[in-house]
Amino acid sequence: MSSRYEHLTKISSRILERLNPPKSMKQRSEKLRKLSLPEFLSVGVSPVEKSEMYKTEKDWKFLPGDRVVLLKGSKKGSICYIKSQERSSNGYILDDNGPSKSVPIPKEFWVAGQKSHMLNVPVPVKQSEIKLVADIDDPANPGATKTVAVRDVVFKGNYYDENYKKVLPYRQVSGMPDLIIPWPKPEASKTNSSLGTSPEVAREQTFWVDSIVKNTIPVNAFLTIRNPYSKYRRGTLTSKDIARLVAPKMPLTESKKEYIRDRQKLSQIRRPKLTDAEKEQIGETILKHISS
Amino acid sequence: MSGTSVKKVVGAARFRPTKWLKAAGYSPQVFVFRNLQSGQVLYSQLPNFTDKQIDNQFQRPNWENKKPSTRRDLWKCMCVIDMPNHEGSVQLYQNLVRLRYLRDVTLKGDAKAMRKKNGDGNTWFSGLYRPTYTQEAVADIIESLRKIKHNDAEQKLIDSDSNAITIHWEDIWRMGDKTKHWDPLLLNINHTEIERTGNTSREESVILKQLGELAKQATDKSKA
Amino acid sequence: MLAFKRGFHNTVNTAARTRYTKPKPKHVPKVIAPPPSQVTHHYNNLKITAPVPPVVQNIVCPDDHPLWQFFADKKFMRSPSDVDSTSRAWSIPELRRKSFDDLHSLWYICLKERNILARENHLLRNIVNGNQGTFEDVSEKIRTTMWRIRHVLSERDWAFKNAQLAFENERANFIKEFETDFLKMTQEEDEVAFESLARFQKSIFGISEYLDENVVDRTFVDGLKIVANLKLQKFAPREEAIRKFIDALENNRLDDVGEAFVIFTAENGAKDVKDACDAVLDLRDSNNKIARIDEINTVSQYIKSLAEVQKQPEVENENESQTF
Repeated sequence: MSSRYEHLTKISSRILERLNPPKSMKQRSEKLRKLSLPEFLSVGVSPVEKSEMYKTEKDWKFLPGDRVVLLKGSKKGSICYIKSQERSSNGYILDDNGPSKSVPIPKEFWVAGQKSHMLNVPVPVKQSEIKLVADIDDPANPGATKTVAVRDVVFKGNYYDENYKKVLPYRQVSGMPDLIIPWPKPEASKTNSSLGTSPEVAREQTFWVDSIVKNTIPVNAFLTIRNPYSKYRRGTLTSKDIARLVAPKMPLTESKKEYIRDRQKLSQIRRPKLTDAEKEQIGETILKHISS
Repeated sequence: MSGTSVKKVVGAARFRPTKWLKAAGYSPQVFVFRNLQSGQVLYSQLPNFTDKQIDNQFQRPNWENKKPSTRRDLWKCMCVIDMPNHEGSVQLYQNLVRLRYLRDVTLKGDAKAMRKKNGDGNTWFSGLYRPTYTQEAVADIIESLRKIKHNDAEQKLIDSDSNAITIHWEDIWRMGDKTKHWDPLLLNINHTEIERTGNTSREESVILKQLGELAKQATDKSKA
Repeated sequence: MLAFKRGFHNTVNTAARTRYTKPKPKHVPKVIAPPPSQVTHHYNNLKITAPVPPVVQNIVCPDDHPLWQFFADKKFMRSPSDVDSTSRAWSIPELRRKSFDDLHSLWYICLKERNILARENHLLRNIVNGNQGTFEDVSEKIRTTMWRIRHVLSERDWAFKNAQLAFENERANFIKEFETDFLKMTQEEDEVAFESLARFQKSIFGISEYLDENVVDRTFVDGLKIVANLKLQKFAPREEAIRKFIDALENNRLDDVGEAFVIFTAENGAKDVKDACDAVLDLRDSNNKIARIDEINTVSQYIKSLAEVQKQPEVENENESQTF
């Protein structure tokens, strides 16, 4: 479920989340969803929960450009390249060798050059339905490589990838830590850096501390720099605050006062102290009792 | 207005002839007001209007063409037509009111036939708003101005060489296609736009007053 | 008496009126009708015509319309390839090098871009029914830059405040150190020395070379005195009159702010300072010593009048521009 303003406000989305069908109803709602969507608009794979959607490269394991082999379906065994990721269903869209379905498309949705109502559209495949394919050195005839399917990949360590311009994990063959399968090179997209700043301008230093007296930041700017009412701002309690926060001492009830008075009286009573002679006498009595 | 009860009428409530307008110091102008809610249009000789005019100009109210309210905040000046002389402005006003009568009463069916319809065959509307009324008003302005120019030879309402007719539009968008609707029939009409900044309901009367002053100065200059 | 109520049968005839009299005309009320107010009428050849629809061509949107700021290249919506998805957010170390003005303008550039992207994203969601995150991703990057700008400024402020606190203990030492270094420099190094003095007065006392920037407070006044004294001491070995002037002072230090101001504004040359000293001596005769409590007010007045003098380009003092 989604609202039209979900990207602007979270209010309605929270309400809608609460209205989400219970688990027992999920199957039914899924069926209804499938019925209501025309074939050419439906993805083919049911979307996953938002919490279950893949986020990092470690989740995805394969990126667009990777070579994979199909394990299921009519095209079982064919090797294809991953063209893109289908985020909503955790699926991969493969190239022409991959699975596809023929769907009728109304004329207003025809793409340029289309001649028939029927069009082949790719069907996303799940992660469990494909395995990564890689070229490794062939120990049988050295110098040559052989193409193998990788049972599974694991991730260890990080490095900065120049192609992706971000830190990526090393992708290793499971059980063979020395065998690293590099990430595919991303498709050279049209470099549009209209928002970018040239490195010379970015590195140019324009801030210099030249006075210990005058702050370089105008006073009026502070209201927008820091939120004075932030809930994370831990202030110090003034005595006034403490007086307001601490409850006053309750006055004692009459019975309590009486009790305290009694206790005081009791404490004032002098307890007899045992003299040495008395202790001697007690000792003698005990000795007599034991020896008898 | 007629009838036994005698009621003092002031301002725009009754028809004002040329002599009165001149004596009262009004410029030869016709004011067209537009209802923001329904899109209905009201013609006035003065820069204001009264309920009498609404009664007079909406004689056959029905569910599609309800009698509009007198709420001042719902009426906005759509355009001001500057005529070269008071005879012309009075004639224009009378023509416009007559055309309204024709549309509402005499040629009701013809008028309805020319309107854009919705799926149910009714005049197209969105909520309370029917854009056709404003568009009809523009058509009526064109028609009556054209007839005035045409009849000009006999009546001498307008000096043929001076192009003293000016229309000040609140939004020039509303005047329609100039080359298609205005130019073939009516040459020499100036269209200007009232400045948008400050043209709010609070300031409108001031703007209309200023337009009147300007028109007066223009006529004085042309006479001299 | 009997009254004849009843006439004879011929009474009618005898009593009948024999002469005809013309009846009076019926009264007709006088009508005082005013002439009709409406003598003109509408034409009879009017025809109703089809409604005239408005046309878009009449609307001319000016190029400098403020709402264009919500559009990129005046496009309704950019295609994903037109959006810069390769650039990254500004990093904190990069932003730390930028002045407040730079950061301020960068902030507004970011804000405007985010407005554009939000508009396009909204259209994508609601009109095109798209689900791509192109605009959102870029917007999120820009948002990162924006919070980093705030972070850097906040951090800069804390650093400044902490430095101010820590410097309080170092202050006296620092000034003393500078004084010895400054006085140690030879006559050949004068240019360097006075440049460093300008930096010193700006950094420790906030005395800027530009008059209108200055805020006169206690630090400023104290700095003024220290700088004036430094100037005197610098030129004392070179000019006999200045040395004598210093010797005549109490504790060999200039303490009156008015006198200090005269020395302070003098050009950096032995002769100028000597002239200033002479001027001070002349002033001293009129005996208008400034009390400590009035110092700030007086100096701010001096500065204000000096700034006014600078503003009016005087023909006489054209080459004698006043700078600190």
